[in-house]
Amino acid sequence: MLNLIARRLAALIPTIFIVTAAVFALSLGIGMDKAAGVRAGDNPSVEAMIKAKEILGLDKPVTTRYVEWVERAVQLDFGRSFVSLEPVDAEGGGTTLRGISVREHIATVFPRTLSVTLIAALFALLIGIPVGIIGGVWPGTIVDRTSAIGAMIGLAVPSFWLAMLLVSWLAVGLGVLPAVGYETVADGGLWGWFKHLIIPGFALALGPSAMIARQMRAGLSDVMGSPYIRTAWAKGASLPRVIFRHALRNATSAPLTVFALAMTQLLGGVVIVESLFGIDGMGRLIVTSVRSNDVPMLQGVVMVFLLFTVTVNLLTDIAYGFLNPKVRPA
Amino acid sequence: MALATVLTLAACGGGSGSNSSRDNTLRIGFALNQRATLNLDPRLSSSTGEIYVLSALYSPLMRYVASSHSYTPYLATKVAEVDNKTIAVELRPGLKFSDGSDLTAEDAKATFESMAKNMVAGKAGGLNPGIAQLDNVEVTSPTSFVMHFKSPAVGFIYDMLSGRESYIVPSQATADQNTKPVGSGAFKLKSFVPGSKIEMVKADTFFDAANVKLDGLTFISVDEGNAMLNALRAHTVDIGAGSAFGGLDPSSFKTLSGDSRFGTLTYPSENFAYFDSCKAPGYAMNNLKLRQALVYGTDRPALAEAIYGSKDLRAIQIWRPGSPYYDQSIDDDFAYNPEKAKQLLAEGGVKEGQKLKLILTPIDPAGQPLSLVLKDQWAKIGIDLEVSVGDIVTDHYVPASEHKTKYDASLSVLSREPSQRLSINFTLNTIRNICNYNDPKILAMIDKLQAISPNDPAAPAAWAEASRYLAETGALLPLSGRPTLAGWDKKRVDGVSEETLGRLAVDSIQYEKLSIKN
Repeated sequence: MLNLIARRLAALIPTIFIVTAAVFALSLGIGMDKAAGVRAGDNPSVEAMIKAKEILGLDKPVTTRYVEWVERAVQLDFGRSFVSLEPVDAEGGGTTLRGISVREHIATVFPRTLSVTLIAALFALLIGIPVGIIGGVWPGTIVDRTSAIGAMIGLAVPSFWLAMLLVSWLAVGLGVLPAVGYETVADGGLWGWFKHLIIPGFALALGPSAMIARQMRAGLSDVMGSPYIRTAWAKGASLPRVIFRHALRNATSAPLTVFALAMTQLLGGVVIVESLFGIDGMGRLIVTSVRSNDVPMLQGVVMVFLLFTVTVNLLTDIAYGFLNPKVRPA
Repeated sequence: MALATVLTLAACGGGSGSNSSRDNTLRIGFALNQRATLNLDPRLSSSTGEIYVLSALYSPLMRYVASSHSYTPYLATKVAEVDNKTIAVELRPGLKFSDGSDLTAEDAKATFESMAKNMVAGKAGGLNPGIAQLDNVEVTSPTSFVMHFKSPAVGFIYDMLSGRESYIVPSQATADQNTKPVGSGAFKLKSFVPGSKIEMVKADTFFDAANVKLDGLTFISVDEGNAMLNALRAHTVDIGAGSAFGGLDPSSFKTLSGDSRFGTLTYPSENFAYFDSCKAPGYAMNNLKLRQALVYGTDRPALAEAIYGSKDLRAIQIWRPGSPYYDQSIDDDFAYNPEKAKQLLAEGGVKEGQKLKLILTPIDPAGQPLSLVLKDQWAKIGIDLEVSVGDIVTDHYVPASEHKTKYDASLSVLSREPSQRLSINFTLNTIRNICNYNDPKILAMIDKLQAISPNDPAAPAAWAEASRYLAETGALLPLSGRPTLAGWDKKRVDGVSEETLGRLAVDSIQYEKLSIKN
């Protein structure tokens, strides 16, 4: 098992290298000069632009900047924002402005996005797995057909539209959930935190839950016809024992793959959902960074998304190894 | 099943609309997360929208009274014009900051001079540009000071003294002022979660604390438009704040107006949307006859009716109807006349089907419908308006030579102090003068208007002269006014009025006059 983990980790190195190079190259394309212009203030003079480029390190060769950026990035230091500034006391007295720390800012907003994503993933599993099991164990029944229709609807309904419907119904109509906003656990308690995530989480979860349900149903209905399941029945095993002890383990490979894909897709979905619910998370940050040419912030956000994605993929690979000994290296 | 479970829990938990957990704190919806930085230090104000938060923490020296178009002392007791470049200010005695320390003329001097320095250094784009004209502040006693300007300033000083430029911070304030503000307002900061929530509590040090009915304010991050509408209807917030004060667009305002549980208020603001053209050589709008034709070819009352449902929001000149500087004869002389427009186009050698490329910036939600109505109206005089969406950073507030895409005009919104409405668009080498248009006559008018106090009987005629010249030359084409659209929970909030809300994005919001109904 350790061998599997080591191999997967080694395979990540070229992936991360290629992506960091791509992130850096893309950021060059969105205009470093413009970023210096933003920093230099309204109607900057040539001297002010030169000074701004010096401050931002844009006067150095691209290769030097890349190496320096990678050196800092491996320590999770993504530099300072070009656009979001904070005042600091100047050495000779008075106040001067500097960019806010990208790492600190991401550390503030990432938990919000992670909260939405994890709650959505939880809902996706809570809905997708039982529906898939029911369909897989009793294929062709009314319950199966109903859940298949539900899955189709789940896949077809856009998350933002569902979010708007849920807000209209649950927040505006019934008044049982908040329509907007986000609260930390420290600020609103566990329930305060959770209730702000129910509508966005559910809206994001419906599509992935439908995918999980379909894969689970397909996998389970195949497995339920296997000789070893017939043997289990013949030995007098109960239904829960057949499902959870014998069938489920071999039926979860496909749903697990779908779940890993869904987790990364959820990150994409939060861009819209965060806007709808006024949650100041990574999704909104990436939009504002692109619009304001805030290159370090954009690089930081993309790197965090990358780390999240490779971590999910790594955990998925490890989970495969646990579930299926055949994928473990000899 | 999962949803049913959490809904049951939510219902048992009292939900978001329950009154049980509320106190005497007003919850305000505000798009905290639409700005890269929200400055709580007025010396570094970078956007006009910050006024909604700043005016709770700080108090201005004067207040604008809309009913009489006059300015009345607030933190100050007396403001006197020594000459058109010199203003003497007397502070109320015994003023305190929220940390209990005394607010003195030395603090005012340090604040004003710091603001002027920041404006010159490009660090405070949200401040009135006029502050850069401040030469120095002379302290004459602990409660009085004299402001000396490099050039005539009485034309804009009153806007400054009633706006964020007069929010005084302690003279020893450091960079911490931006996150742990010490102010002179009715409220003081309790907690600040950037992009999410700001909590304030009543400041007992406020000079008029006895009349403040609220225990506190909480700003909750809500995007403007439909999200604000939902937040109000779900009782997540009590009142909205934002670019149209209520943070509501015309459509969501209309929806809220039809709901008897909510109070709504609309009145014309001093702001207006306008067609901001690039008049440099090589651009179509360099042609005077074409500009004049567009003035006559634009049916402004119909435009306002289409967008806001009211012809009262027409903008044919730079002051709104009802303002003492408004001149009815300008509206009459430059009223919609498509035949005259066609004649001017012919005289200017403009061919049928002349294309004009217009870019929209995402500032104004009404920009898209405005441009569509404009396109329709101008098609009738043979002008083909091509509308595309631009970027505020790379297209608008940059010199014409750096525009990412070459365009003839943009739709812009003037939401600055009224006294700045000429200078902000026509002063040379400034960012809003999109193609650095140089008209010596307009520049002379700017100088003249900055030297005329709003209290001067000559002010209305001087502004009318400027309005008429802009209409005659088509140098700036106003399209429609912008209404203040406020919406609030009628069962909970009391005291919302035109007076308490003030001029959109210019005046302090008088939160201390609002209260929670018990």
